[in-house]
Amino acid sequence: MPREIRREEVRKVVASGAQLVEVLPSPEYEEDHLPGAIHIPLRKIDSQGVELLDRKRAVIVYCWDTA
Amino acid sequence: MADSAETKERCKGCEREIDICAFCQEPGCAAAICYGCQNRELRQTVPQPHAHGG
Amino acid sequence: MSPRAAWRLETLGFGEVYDYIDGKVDWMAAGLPTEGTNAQHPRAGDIARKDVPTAGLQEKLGDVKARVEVQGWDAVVAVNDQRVVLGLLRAKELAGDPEQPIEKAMRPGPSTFRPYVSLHEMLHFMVDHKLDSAPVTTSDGRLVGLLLQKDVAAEMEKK
Repeated sequence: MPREIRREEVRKVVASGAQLVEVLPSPEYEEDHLPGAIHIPLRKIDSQGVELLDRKRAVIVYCWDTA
Repeated sequence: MADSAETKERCKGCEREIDICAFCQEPGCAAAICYGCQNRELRQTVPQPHAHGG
Repeated sequence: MSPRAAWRLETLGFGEVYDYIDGKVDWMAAGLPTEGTNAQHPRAGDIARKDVPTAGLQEKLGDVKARVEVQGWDAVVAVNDQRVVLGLLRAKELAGDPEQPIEKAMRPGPSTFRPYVSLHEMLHFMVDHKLDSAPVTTSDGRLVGLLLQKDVAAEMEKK
C-alpha cells in the first residue's frame, strides 16, 4: 500500500535516493515542478511509461494538491 | 467581528454579501472581493489541470 | 491524481512507493524552490522585503514606531516568536496612542499571500485596492517578507 508522506519526509526520502515523479499533464510540469522531478503523466503510467524508473529505488509521486 | 448594523459589501466576483474586502480589509472598498474569489484569482496564474485533480 | 498514480505503480511491481499527498502547491506555499519556466520569473516571495520590521504583541507602540522610523519604514508586522504573522501596522495604526501595546494597536489577522503568487496578479490587486504593501507568508503563516507595490511595479517595468 503506498504510504502518504508530507513535505519534510519528501526531502529526507529524496536525499536517501528516491525518484521524484510529477504525474500532472503538460504544461503544468513544464511551468513548475519540484527540483529533480521527472515527468510521467498519470495517463502514461503503464509498463512502458515507467521504463525510465529504477525499480530498485523508492518512488515518490505527487500532483497539484489534495483536491 | 462585523457589526450587523454596518452596511455589507458585495464581492465583485460572485456578488455574495461579505463583511469586508478580503484583500485590503478596508470598508467601502470599490473592488471588494471575497476570500474564495481572491484565492481563485491569485491561483489562476499557477495553473491547475482541472477542478478535480485528485 | 497522485493516489491513483501511487497505486498504479504498485500494481506495476514497484515495491516502495510514496504519495506526497499535499502536492506541488504545498511545496511552493512553503517557499521552496521549483524548476521550470515559471521559476525563471520572480514571484511575490522573491521580491518581498525580508527585512521588514517586526514587533511582538506586548511591545509599546511608541517604542516600535521610534525604532521603525529610524530604519525608514512606515509599516510593521506583528509576529510571535515563531515568526507567525498576527497583525499589521501601517501609518494609520502607527499614529495611534504610543502607550498602547502592539496587540491593541495592530490590525489583526491581515490578508496574506503565498510566495508563489505572480507579480502581475499582485500588482493588479494592489493597485485596484490602493494597497501599498502586503505581507507574504508560507502556508503555516510564517512571515516571508512585506511586498511593496513600488517594488512590484519596478520589477514589472524591467520586463
